[in-house]
Amino acid sequence: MAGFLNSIRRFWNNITTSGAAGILSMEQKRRVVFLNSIDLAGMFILLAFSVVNYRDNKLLIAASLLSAFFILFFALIYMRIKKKFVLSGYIVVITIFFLFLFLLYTGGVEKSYSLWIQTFPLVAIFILGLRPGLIATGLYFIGISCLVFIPQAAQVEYGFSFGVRVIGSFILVFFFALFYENIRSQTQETLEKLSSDLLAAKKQTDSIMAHVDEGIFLLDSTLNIGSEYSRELEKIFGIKNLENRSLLNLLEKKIDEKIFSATKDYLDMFFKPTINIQLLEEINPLDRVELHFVESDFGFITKYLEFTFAPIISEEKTGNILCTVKDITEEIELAKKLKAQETRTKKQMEQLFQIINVDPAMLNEFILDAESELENINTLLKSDEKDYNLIINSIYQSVHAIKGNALLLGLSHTSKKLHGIEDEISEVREKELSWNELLKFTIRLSEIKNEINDVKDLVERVLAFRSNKDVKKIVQKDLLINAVERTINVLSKERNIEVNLVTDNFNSKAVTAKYRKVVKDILIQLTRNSLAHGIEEPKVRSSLAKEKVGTIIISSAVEDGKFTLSFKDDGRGLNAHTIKEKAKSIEAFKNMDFDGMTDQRVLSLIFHPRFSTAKETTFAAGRGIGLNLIKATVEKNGGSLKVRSARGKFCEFVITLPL
Amino acid sequence: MKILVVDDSRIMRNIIKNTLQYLHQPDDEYVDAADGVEALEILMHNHIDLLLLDWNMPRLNGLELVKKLRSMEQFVHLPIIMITSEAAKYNVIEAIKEGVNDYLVKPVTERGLLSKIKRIFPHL
Repeated sequence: MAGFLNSIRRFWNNITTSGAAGILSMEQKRRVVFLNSIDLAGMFILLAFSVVNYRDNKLLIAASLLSAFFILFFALIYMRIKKKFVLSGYIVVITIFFLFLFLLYTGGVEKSYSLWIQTFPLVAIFILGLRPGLIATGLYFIGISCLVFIPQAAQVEYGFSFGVRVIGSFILVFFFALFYENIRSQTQETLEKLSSDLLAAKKQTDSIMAHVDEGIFLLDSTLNIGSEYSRELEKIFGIKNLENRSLLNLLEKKIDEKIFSATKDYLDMFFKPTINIQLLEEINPLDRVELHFVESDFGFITKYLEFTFAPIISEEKTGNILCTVKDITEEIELAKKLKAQETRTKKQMEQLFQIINVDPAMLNEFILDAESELENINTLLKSDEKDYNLIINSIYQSVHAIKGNALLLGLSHTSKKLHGIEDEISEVREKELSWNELLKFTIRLSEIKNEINDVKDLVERVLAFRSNKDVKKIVQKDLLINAVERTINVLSKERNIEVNLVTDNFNSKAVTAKYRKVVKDILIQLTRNSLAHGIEEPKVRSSLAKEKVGTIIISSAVEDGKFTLSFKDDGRGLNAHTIKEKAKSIEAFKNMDFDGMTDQRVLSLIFHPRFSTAKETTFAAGRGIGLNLIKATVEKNGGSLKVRSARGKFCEFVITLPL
Repeated sequence: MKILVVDDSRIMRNIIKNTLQYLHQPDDEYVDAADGVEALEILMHNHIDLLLLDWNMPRLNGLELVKKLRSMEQFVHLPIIMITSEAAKYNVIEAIKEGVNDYLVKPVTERGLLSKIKRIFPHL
């Protein structure tokens, strides 16, 4: 039943709003609906009366009623198709005008048509509006006056007193219609003015809300977002249609849990009867908050938002909270970047001061060596090598070598960084490695590459300050010996010892290009060992009746197609007993038969990768890789390595390489 | 006005008391307590106008004392200022939710303390 009524209502609405589509003004819409309703009602009445009159055999009246029906029908169709309500209105009013005059002319049963005609002012004024309606009504008034008062003007005789009553009631209806229409149109005008003002204000609000670069919104007491909010809010949260969404829901799981629950308590405080606005402002937990938005299966993006909250108080109660939110991610990121840049610049300045007095040629050599080490690792990583522990050891040794060089050039930042990476690798060297774990360290390699590039930049800057002549002179110096001297300078200061380097019998020209790097690595490593473990502090040396200043002698010889390099220091020598005790405590040696070992065999343990006798790991020594590295390099080149030592007197390494 | 200062550190109590003396009229009176239990004892037997309360204390800590006081009818309206070294806002919000009127982050300064007291007693 309800469905049936609804469909009737829909049908009625459809008919009465014929031609109203696209008309904006309320007044015009009202006129269209009224016109169509009158039209439709008129059609029904006309059709009914035409049938009645036809049955009563009043054919002329039946025919005129029917033609009026068709004219009204035409007006409705015309209205529906052409949407011209003014013209349709005139058609309807003029039709009724003539129909009513005709009916008055004929009189009807007991002059009853004089009743029907009274409705004309209503129809004319409501459909046509005030002014045209008045003109039509005036003409109509003249018409009916003539028909009523002029004898024989109509088919029936109305008589004077009846006529006065007809005209009198007509005038009454007319005045009421006029009066009503006047008031109605004034009200309408005021309403329209009001609504257009409202519309303009709404437009301004909308425009503000669409363009302001902050999220602005209201929260009600259930902490839901109101209907008017700025577009920026949707942008910030990446969600459309935020009306009636709970702010807490939007924040949940995106911010720290403690801050989240504090936020709930905090916002509830705004609706408490006693609030201290200043205090609330101070304890805003979201004044700078980090949000994590889940972006995809792979991760999230972080935004920093800045919220402000202010209560809107009416009748001494908080009605809503006015909130603003601003995306300050860029500011924060910028601040972070600036900080990082500052740190980097500071580091570069420090390094610059450290290397400003170092020979550029040596720095160049450092860079070339480091790059070749990195190149070797890359080649290894690209190869089919499946032994990941071997790869990680190679990386370790390369890092170690670069670190040693950085240290001796005084590049403390670079060497510290490398030391850290060495530590990381140390932790995993013993374990079974997976490819993924290994990959982690390749990231470290690119960090090293960046370090090296920074040094490169610095070298270029330093060179820019020096004349070409200076640079040439520096290159001609003996780079190998220079490297050893630098190592001694750095480490002897660190350990407070004094060392004298003797290189009279060393001919650097005898070192072929093939062995240049090998020899350099060996000399530096042995120097570092000697300064870390070999040469004693001056006090100790004095008490042993030795010269206060220690001596390192480097010599070379070429014989029978072999190159021999000797490195000798007058330090404490190798102590077979200490080495044996130390070896016993090392996990990797636990299965060895120490009792049956010759001293020579014990001494050879120092070449084992896991061996180190220094008590603490310092930058300079104590990692037990150095001697192992030398031995491996020498053997790889088909050479041999020997160690001779007298306890408390000296220690000598003799390396032989085929030419 | 009678003010109760509760802090487990004697030095801190003295600092607060000295600051208060420096700020207020001579007829103000100061009482102190070393922890929440002691403070409660004093509150039960004296009329106190303002409570300055440290957060971290042995036996009964500041927040526990606030909860206890607010559940007792005679202390529902007692003004309480919490003194805290915790600058984390969610802690402060928790304290205010439990009924603290205001808070003060250490170190205690004359200006900070005065502004907080004036917020509670605007006529001073």
